[in-house]
Amino acid sequence: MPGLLDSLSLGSRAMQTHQKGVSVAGHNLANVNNTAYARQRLNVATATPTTSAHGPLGNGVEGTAVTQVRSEILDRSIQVETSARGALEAQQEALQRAEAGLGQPLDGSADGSKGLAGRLSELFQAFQAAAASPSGSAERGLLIRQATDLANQFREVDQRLGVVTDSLNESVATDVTEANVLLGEIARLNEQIGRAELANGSTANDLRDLRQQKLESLSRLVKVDTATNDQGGLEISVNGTTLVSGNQVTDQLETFADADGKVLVRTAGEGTEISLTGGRIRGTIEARDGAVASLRAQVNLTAGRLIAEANAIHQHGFGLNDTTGADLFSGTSAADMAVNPDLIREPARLQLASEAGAKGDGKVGLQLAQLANRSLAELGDRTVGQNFNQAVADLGSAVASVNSNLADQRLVDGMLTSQRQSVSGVSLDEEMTDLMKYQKAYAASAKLITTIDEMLDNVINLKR
Amino acid sequence: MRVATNQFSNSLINQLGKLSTRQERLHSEAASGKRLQSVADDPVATRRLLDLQAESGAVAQYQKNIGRLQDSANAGYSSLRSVQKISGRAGEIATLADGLKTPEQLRTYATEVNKLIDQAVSELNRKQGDSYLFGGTRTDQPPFTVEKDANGQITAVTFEGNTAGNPSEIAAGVALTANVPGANSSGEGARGLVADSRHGADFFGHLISLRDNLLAGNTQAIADTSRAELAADEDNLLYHLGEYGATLSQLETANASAAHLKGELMGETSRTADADLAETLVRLNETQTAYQATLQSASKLMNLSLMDYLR
Repeated sequence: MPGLLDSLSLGSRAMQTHQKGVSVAGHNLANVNNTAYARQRLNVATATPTTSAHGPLGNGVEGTAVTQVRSEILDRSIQVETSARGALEAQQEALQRAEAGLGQPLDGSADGSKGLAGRLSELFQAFQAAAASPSGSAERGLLIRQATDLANQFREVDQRLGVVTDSLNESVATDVTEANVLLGEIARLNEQIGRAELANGSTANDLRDLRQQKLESLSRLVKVDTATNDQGGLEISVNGTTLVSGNQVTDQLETFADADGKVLVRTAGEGTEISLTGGRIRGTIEARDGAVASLRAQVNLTAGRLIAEANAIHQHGFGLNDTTGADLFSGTSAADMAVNPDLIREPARLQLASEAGAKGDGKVGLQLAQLANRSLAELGDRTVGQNFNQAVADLGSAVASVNSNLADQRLVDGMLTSQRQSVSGVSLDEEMTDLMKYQKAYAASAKLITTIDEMLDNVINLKR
Repeated sequence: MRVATNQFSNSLINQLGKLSTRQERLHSEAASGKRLQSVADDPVATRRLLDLQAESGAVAQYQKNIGRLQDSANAGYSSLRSVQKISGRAGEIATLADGLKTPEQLRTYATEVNKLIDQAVSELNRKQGDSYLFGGTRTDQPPFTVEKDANGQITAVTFEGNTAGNPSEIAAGVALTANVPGANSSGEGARGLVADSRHGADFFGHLISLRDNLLAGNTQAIADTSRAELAADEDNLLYHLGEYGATLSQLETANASAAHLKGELMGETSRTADADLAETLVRLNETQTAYQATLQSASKLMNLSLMDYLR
């Protein structure tokens, strides 16, 4: 049978256990707004009983472990979905920037802005006006202005899309740098977790929370495969190449430029190009090499065909001063398109007539105007205007598709996050209730010690 | 289901974010009256809208071309009517100059014919803006030049223009020329206004011949040749009057057609891009109500806490 002093120990152990419970509740309360945090619970168990002639006698309670409430399945699902969301968000950002770079208004130029579609249309109208009045200096002046405005706009759009492409390349490089930092941090956390768990024999909850957060940040940038080793360390690999093993960063990511100057990603050690399957980096590359590149190519193709076709017609015409053979536009694409400076200086040199000495002849001007309705094989049997309009619509389809996919992805993400919050999130009501529960138990255990103390007094006073 | 404290606030933020986005979108639609705010809203409609805008611009230009051609054709028609009057008077003189007239009377007629030639040249050298109407595509110089002898008698009227026309589009693929060349002796191309070798028309040549016959008192030649020549010229002018009438009628039809097409394009553009304001405002109202309800319920729920009941 245990003595009074043993009972004192029982009370003390119970107080310590309940104090730990208060501490855990306090820790949970303190981290209520920490998104990486998974609520913790104090596991308690009956203390090992003392064997006696009357059978085993209870020794109260003791805290066995502080565990975190996490669902590995949800964590893994969120990690995978984070990669998918990262890719879509990066694509959306890139395409929206391309859309802004294109600067095509859809309100029928209510505020005076016309975009390339409006300027193309205005150029062909100016050809018509000049063809109808080929000797009119006002019509020639207007034609030169419209052609110059169109060429300027083509160059600006190409330049803006170039800036978008450059910034996407920079974004890939920045994300790769950030991913490498995260790989290093995860390796360090692997080491810290290993050390902490080896020393204490318990789970390093807070460090694991932090590592999960870093892993999700990494997954947002690049989709990785993970596995846990025997020491609790996280192994990270991409495309079969191990990047983190235990506390070591075995390889890193690095960017490189391919033959076309496109920034891609490979492993720094082996130098093998990585075919990414998710994450921001993949989304950025996909948008850059997909819809953004296609848009820029179509803008350049449209400008290139317009330059070639208009020049072919214009070269055969005659100016008011009987000059012939000059190009209307210089350049070969949107990037370098410009109106022939000789024509800007002297609009009379615009070659609108089909024969020399016929100042009232605008047949070549009419041919230029009719280019508006000519389907060109190089443009997939579309007119110059239709080709540009289709490029705009294609970009719209790409943005709409990404928007729709991202909305679906956010729904999935939201549901998983909500489910994880439901499992791991801190509830103030719950913690306050726990706090009261442990407080009352602590008070009761203290009362036990007071009672034992009084009993000990009684025992000591027996000798008087 | 267990609800963590931040689940509620996260859900609230998401809901408010969605409603704010929707409100902003509906507000933009209501303020601009446009359904299409971005190319991603409806890519097919975007393509259609851009095509419609280009088509509307082209139709507006066709209408300008039609207006210009109408002005030009009206000016040409007016000159032609004047020339026809001159032709009529010349025909009268050819009829009046019979064997009963004295040489003095015939000389007086000759003087009048000389003036008629001057008058006709003046009419046919008419300009519209900076361009001569009847010089073909040589619009920068008078199409008819007059040569006179020492006595001031017109000896020849030469056509300095060409026989080319300058067509303008009045609809997609339909081009029209308003005026005709003053003369055409090439035997091909557009029929000359006052001279055409294929139809025996040579108005000025025949007037000079008439005048010379009058001066010479050769009434027999006038009766045998000049009257027939002038009749051929008159027929040629009548042909062109009919042609001008047909051209003006065609332009009128093209103008009505373009106006109709413009209206249809505007309607289609509106159906493609414009917002249904009634529907937009109803949806905006619904969204605002939902936003207010969310805020109100959130403010009530967020004020509830177990801590308020603990001592």
